[in-house]
Amino acid sequence: MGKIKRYLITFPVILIILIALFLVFSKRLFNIDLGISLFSDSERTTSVAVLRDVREICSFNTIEYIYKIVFPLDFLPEDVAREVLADKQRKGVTLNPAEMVYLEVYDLCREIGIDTASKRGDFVVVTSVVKGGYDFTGTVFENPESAVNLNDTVRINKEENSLVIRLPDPVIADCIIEDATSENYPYPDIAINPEGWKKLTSFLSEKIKELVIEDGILVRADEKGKEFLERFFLDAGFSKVIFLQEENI
Amino acid sequence: MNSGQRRCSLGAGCLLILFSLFLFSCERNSIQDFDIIETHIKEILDLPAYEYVYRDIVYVGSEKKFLKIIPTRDTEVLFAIDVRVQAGIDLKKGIRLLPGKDKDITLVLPRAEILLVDADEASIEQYFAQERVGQIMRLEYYDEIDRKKETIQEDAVKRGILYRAEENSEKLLRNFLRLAGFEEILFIWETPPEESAG
Repeated sequence: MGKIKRYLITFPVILIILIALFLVFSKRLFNIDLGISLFSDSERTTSVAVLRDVREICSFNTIEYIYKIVFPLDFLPEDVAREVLADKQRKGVTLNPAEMVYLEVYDLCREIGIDTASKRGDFVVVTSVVKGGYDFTGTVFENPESAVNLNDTVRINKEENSLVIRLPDPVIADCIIEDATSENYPYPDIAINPEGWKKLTSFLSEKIKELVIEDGILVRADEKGKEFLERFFLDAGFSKVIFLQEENI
Repeated sequence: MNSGQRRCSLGAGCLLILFSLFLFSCERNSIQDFDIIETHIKEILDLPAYEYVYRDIVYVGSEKKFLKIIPTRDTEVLFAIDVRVQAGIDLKKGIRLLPGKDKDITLVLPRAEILLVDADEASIEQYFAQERVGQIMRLEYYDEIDRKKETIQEDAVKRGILYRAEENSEKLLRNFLRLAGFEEILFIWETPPEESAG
């Protein structure tokens, strides 16, 4: 009698549990949506954008470097711990430039909450686009009336039908950190608030600019710019185009 | 096995099933194979000529509860960020110079286009960030910024950014040619603009 009673109690209990589980997990297990969930989600996102500023640009971009960096792994050594560097610094030992960068990265990670202690720590893949070219702002190309002596910048030799032109020095026109979204970022997301992200990207922008300059972005930008302008003026009817460098003036 | 032990093992079994299903039901972020990380160098011929800067005020709040009682996530953040819209001419699409008599010249150019819509990280101003349960994830707020970009771009076009970019590009190219001795410079834009003249 006791055995039957036990079955009469336990069987319905198991059945009820299984039915409840089916109802709750029906969507995930069998793709049947019964509108029942253990979790309740509430996402509130909103944004309002207003036009703040407009500005003229007077530049010519001729080269683009696209860099992908894995932060912080690209900046940290595998065999030097932060504590070792901090200890060296405390003892008054001068750190070499690479160690200074390691320490800077470790401190930045700590400040913005990126884990560097565990073997598979946090990481973020940052894509950056750096553009090189000429900025004509404030030059005679933007405002010919501003020239004190136009011959310093442009000279026409009618006999030879040639044009002598002095361009400004090439510059890094823009350093853009590509905006990642759920659709275009295939790696695990990183926990970081906007303020932390600002600090991280500010650090990376500086490092990326140094990298691209080392890689010769300005030289390439200059070559490419001159190549285009030479073609431009030859098509305009000149027989020869000579570019003057700063030291030729 | 006595009845007490049976009840215990039955309860434990049910809990195990429940726990397994709970784990199964949780979102899993699979780590995908990494692409080869590389650097590209691309030759461009962009003449960016005009930029509009929008201030975007973004609020992202996320709340998740288990059984509508136990919070498993409760975060919110409010910040402002500049979104830059840059317009200009992509000279790679073709530029033709047609010298005329004496000091006349005609330039045939591609129409101005939007060259860039980008959130400027350096301009971020965070008003508050609350992480009561869980953490604020970067893609959460970047998805919201991205969602707004299309509207911002449309607004910039409506406000005549393409028209202004053409005007400014024309000014720069005219100056180049004037300095090279040309007096009559005519501009022909190849396709009709997709915007009102602002």
